[in-house]
Amino acid sequence: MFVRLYADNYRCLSNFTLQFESLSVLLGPNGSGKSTVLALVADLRDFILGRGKSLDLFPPETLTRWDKRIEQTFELGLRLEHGEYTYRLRIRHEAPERGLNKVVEEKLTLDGQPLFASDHEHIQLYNDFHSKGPQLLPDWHVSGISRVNVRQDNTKLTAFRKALEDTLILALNPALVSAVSSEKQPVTIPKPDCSDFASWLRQISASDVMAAREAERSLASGGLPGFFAFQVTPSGDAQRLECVFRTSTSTLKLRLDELSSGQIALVILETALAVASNRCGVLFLDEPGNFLGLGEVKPLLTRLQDAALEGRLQVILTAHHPVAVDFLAAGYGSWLDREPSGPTRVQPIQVDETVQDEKGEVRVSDLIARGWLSGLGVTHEESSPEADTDRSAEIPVEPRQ
Amino acid sequence: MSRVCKIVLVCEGWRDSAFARGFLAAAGIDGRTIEPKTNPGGCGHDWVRTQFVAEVANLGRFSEGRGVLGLLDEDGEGVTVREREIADQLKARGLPSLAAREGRCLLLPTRNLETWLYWLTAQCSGSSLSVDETTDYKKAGPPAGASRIRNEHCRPAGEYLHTLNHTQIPPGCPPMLKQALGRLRDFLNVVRR
Repeated sequence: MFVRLYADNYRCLSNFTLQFESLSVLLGPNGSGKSTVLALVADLRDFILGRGKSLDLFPPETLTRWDKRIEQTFELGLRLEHGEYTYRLRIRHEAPERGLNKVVEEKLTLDGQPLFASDHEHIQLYNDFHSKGPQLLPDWHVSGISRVNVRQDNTKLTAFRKALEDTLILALNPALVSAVSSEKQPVTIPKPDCSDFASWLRQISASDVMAAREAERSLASGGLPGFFAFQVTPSGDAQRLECVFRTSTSTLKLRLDELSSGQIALVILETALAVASNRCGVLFLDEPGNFLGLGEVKPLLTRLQDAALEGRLQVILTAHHPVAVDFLAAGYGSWLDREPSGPTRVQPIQVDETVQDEKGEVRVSDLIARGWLSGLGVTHEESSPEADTDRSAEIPVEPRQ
Repeated sequence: MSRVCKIVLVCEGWRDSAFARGFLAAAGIDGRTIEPKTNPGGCGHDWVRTQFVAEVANLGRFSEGRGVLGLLDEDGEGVTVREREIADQLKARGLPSLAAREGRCLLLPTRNLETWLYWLTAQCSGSSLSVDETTDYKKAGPPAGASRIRNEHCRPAGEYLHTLNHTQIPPGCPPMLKQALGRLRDFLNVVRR
């Protein structure tokens, strides 16, 4: 389970800390940093798993615009079977104008004891008992953790990596979803937009049969009205994913990309929920209510809530949808906000008893729409130029070049 | 066919909702036809009372709905008092009174839902447990011989309740749970129509 994210000098996240629970809902206006949080977690996951280099995942454009420092710092806190892991990454943008950066620190600890440590000169490996092992030479642009081979004496480090492999981060864009699975490499982790869903499902059907069946069963039992089963048909060198719809009198096969945006979203969300539940994993969803019909949102959220609270997986959502807001904001919500040229700040949401009284009930979504944030227990601070100056004065500044 | 909600479930919290949905699922009710409403904050009793009455009013206005199911902890206030509070509000708004067999069903866990959860979870695992309706197990901790109830026990407890026959209930069953089972059977007859 993810328990904490820290980011400094990354887009709108400046000295920013966010705590996670088994179910967390991130709320806030457009541009407040909700999707940035999810994108950062995806990039950190991909970096640690060796799916991308620092040059691609953390280009100089990700430096905070108004901050002149050239170093970015990230921390991830995860609570797993072995204890509490803290991952720390520092990236130095030596020559931002040429897109050059390098990892100057990468560290993993378990309950404060080292499992992995590297700086720009060497990598120090540790075993499960936190004793020093061999040293390696670092690659300045690749996570050293991704290069560690699985051994019998580093199960704690590999458990951390496995937890990240079981973390799905989705910001769906059904218009980009392809029905064709042509990837030669298996897709074990889908792209956030899930454009490679067909390839991912193909992989799941081979490696995670129970989850694939559960997704199909869930869709067929009302999740997607009329759905009967998935079917894969050869299409040249590739395969084409079709959805079979069946009524008492007819059968209809539709390519995945022939479905409506809402139907595609339902197919992906049901599959993601089944996979994450089967692995006791983590599911980050950016606006899961997008594309769905109004009647479909609450059943989906109810199932996500059940799964999270029963400990079958961790769910972290961003939400604008009023159904999601009214259902989950109180109790699970955090409010993210920022001035247009300022950093993201976060506060817990607490619904004031007075807004829920008998005669004058105002829904949480109404409060947000009206900007009446005091009803959510959120302090609405007016920023002033002086306040900005004071804040920036606390940050050690050096020229960015 | 798009989703049609048949049951509105009004509860103080997620645990009550999960318990009730467990029972309904075991009875073959599709979870997508249930609209769970849980208290977003503030006084849970007041919220459930208000929402329950509002949803009973909706039941009379829209033909698609079949029933309203409410769960309200007795919390030492007295079952009669709790029921009368709602009965008075229904009457004040000119709405029909509580009647599970007509789709207006109120369950009153006494002393609270944890009492039922402890007893049902023990029964479900084949052991017997003595509980009483005056102890607040939420505050006092689990009864002797039981471990603390967790979220994942709620739905299975509801599912297990459905397997019991309310005319041959095992000994030691809290009286209000037995009454609840009778009401739920009546409620099912309406919502299944």
